[in-house]
Amino acid sequence: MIPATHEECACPFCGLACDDLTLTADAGGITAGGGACERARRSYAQVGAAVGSAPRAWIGGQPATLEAALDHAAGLLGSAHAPLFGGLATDVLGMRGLMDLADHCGAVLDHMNAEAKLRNLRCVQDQGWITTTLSEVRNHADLVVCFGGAIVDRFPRFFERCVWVAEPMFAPAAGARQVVCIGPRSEHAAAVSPAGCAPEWIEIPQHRLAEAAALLRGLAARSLPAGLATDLPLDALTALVERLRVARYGVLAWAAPDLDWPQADLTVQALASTITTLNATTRCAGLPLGGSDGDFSADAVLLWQTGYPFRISLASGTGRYDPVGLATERLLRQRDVDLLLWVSCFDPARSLPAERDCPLVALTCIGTPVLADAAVQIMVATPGIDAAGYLFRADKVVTLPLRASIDRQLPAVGDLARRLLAGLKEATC
Amino acid sequence: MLKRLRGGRIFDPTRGLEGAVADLWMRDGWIVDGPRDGERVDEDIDVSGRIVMAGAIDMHTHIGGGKVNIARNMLPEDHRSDPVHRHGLCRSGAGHAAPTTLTTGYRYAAMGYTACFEPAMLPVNARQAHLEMGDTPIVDKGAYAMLGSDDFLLRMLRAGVDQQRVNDYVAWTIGASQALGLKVVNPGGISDFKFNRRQLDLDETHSHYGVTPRQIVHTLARALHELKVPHPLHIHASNLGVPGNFQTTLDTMVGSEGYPIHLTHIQFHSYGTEGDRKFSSAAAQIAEAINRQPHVSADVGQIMFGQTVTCSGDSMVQHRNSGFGSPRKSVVMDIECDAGCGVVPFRYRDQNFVNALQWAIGLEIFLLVDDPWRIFLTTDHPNGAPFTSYPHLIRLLMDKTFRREALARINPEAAAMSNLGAIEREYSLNEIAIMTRAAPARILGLKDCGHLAPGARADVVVYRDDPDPEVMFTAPQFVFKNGTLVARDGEITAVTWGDVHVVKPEWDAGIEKSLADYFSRHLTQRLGNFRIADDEVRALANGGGLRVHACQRDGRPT
Repeated sequence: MIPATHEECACPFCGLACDDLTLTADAGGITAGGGACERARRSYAQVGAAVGSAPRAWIGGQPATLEAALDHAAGLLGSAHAPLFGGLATDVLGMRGLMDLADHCGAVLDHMNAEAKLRNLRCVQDQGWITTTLSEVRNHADLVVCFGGAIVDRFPRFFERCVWVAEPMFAPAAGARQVVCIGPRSEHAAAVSPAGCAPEWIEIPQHRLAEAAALLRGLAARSLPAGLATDLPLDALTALVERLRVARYGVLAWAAPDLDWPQADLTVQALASTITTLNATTRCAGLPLGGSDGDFSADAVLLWQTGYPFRISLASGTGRYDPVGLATERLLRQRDVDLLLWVSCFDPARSLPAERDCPLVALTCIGTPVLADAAVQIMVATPGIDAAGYLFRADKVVTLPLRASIDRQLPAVGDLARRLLAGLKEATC
Repeated sequence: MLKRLRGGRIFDPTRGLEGAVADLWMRDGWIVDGPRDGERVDEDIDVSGRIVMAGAIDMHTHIGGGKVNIARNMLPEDHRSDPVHRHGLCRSGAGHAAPTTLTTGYRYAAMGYTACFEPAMLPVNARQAHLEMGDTPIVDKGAYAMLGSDDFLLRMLRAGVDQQRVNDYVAWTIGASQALGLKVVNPGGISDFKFNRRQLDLDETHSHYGVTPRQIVHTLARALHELKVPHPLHIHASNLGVPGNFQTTLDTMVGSEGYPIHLTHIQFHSYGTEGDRKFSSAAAQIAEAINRQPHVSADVGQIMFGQTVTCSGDSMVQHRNSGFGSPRKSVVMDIECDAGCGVVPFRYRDQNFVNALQWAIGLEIFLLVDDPWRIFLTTDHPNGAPFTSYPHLIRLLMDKTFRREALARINPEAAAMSNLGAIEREYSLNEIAIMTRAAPARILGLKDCGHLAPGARADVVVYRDDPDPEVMFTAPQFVFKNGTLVARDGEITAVTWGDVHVVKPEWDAGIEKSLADYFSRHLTQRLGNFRIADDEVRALANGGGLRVHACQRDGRPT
């Protein structure tokens, strides 16, 4: 095979969707070059590896043809009374195909990242927020506050692309830009500017970040009781809020998966309220980072087609939104569903819910181990590797085209969903 | 496949037909003048006594794109209270104020609408808008790209580049985002809000760029004229909702210096400061100015009482209004050095003085503008009200007794401040056909829509003549889209996928070099990934086609 090179490819492996990658496809699979981060290189190597003549579909853990696997899956779906479509790590086109099938089956729909997304979602549904997008941060922000500390681990090129920028249009250049991290200290190199300027840290242990957010809100509103006793670094937080007050365009960034404690939606609300208060006199905006595992993409399609974000049930013939009751783990544990259709196109290491007692139909990306207990497993194309598609980026505004850069003869999720639906309709005719 | 609609009363303003009894012929999705020699009539439908019009066109309705999806995300209550079950050929859906895309398409079609235009497509968000429009069945669609607060344009204006260069950028933006027209929202204001500006009047200068909204409006209106893009600049003027803003609106009309402009949701821009509450109707002044200036057209953005959600690109105004949300929540966004948006749910109340007067002001404008070819029936869906309120609005326009009864029920102080009760005018069916069909097609440059002459698309609506126009316009007897019967008595009978309407003005390729450099230096995506190809739009349209309209404009600026 003659190696083929593709320029300016968008990466589907995290919400930043960096679109300056150079992909090379050859007999061994896909290699990511250009500005790809370590995580992207690893993911392309793993998920984009050549398949050769290895099996691509299994029935009960035994290799099968795609046709036989699809027939078996359609049979299982047809006899299921309460199917659950879980995982749903796919792109816009995959989700579009799955929605037709879900509506027909009356399925429950849940995404593997729904729990973390719910922390932000509750804030939007309860009070709203003021937010911004990546290019605004890059050009406007003079003070960037990272709440939670692990943003670099989840979004490796955030600092390179949005913070340590050579020539922002309005904000001070990289050297003068102020960056403050709140959370347990991490020494990630990417957070350090090319000139060696490291972010400031307000060190707060993970389990006390909720308190820190509440303090920020109180400080912004000047509503903290005088002489408040706390062993958190109140002086540093006070100074930070005063700096946000005089900043021209402050940005408060967080990644919902980092806020992993009960009722973390209240922490998001505290951050959002802090921002709202500051906007009475200056500009400040939130940057709730997400979009990994296709979560914003699948959610966007679900929203415009059903009117609801994750988690919904279509069992009654219309959407029933219940973000707590319809959680995958809960439904499986309580045996409220009788089939799990699991879709995972991006991360082969992503594990399935352990506790399940119903047939499993798994549509998984290359690199995923063979699941011995799956009734059906089919290896599927990954959008951005061998399927074209669309990915909603971390700010939910930009939708990047994902290109097919190699042909491994793997079926796209949307196409499989259409074939399953056709099979179901045929069976009922 | 030849179909005949036999003996209907045809209202086709483009040809001057006002209820003339005639047969209407359709072959393979087009209106034709009759059978060929010996051709068999495959379907012959008796519509005698019925009223026949072209499919209606909504030239300003927020049906797709980021802000609508934000509204859906914010408002599960809107969807819970208005569920739509999977039935017949239709998928499930939901939503009164921010309905799902599928439900939107079905509802529009069932009401006799066959084309809808999203008026505020952020270029940077264009792909999402096309994705959502692609999932909106039956109706044709298209969008106006938003410029005027994007940093690339403002940098050009500050640098004083010549008009030709701006024209290239405008043409490129329309082409790259696959748009039918161009909109400006609070010119410069969305950008200046990012610099902490809270209000920007027509002749005030942008804090960073030093340019004025007047300059932006004039430059963009001129660009569209010189590019011969049929639809004039679609303007959401400065100072939306501010008492006294009518003067800004009047100044904006003059500010285009004769280049054609379209002022959108003008109701929100027609407020005076008279009376004890310093809020009054300036509908008379606005209507008089429209009547006097043929280069100006407007859609109304009528409000209706009840729950809705306001979705706007005007982040400056939406931030100011965020405290008035009902329920009390709001989302405001700065977006990609390109634009912004704000979403605030809102409940218009008939006993609230301001809301009641807003309602009256909208109706006054409808009734005081003489020329139905230059005033368009919109609620700025969902900002003034959901589009499903159109039949009620049509009755308010056609039936002065009904209108006066409604006026008697609103806040009495507001009713007393309005001239509405004294207005005798009642819209005729012909005028309704103009403002909802012929005129939108003409102002958008859609040659084969909005009329029933041979050569037009067979988008045809057959209404039962009912003394109550609300009943008549709610559920037409037959709706044909491209010749296919898609709805009958309010029920969907076929799910088809409409086309996407665009224009393709030409640009000098040199602009792309500047843009590529600008994108790689300042933005966070590459130019090549920004631009939407023709094949992509077709693929997103679920089988609908891409309809490219000619760039041509008659005449010179007035």
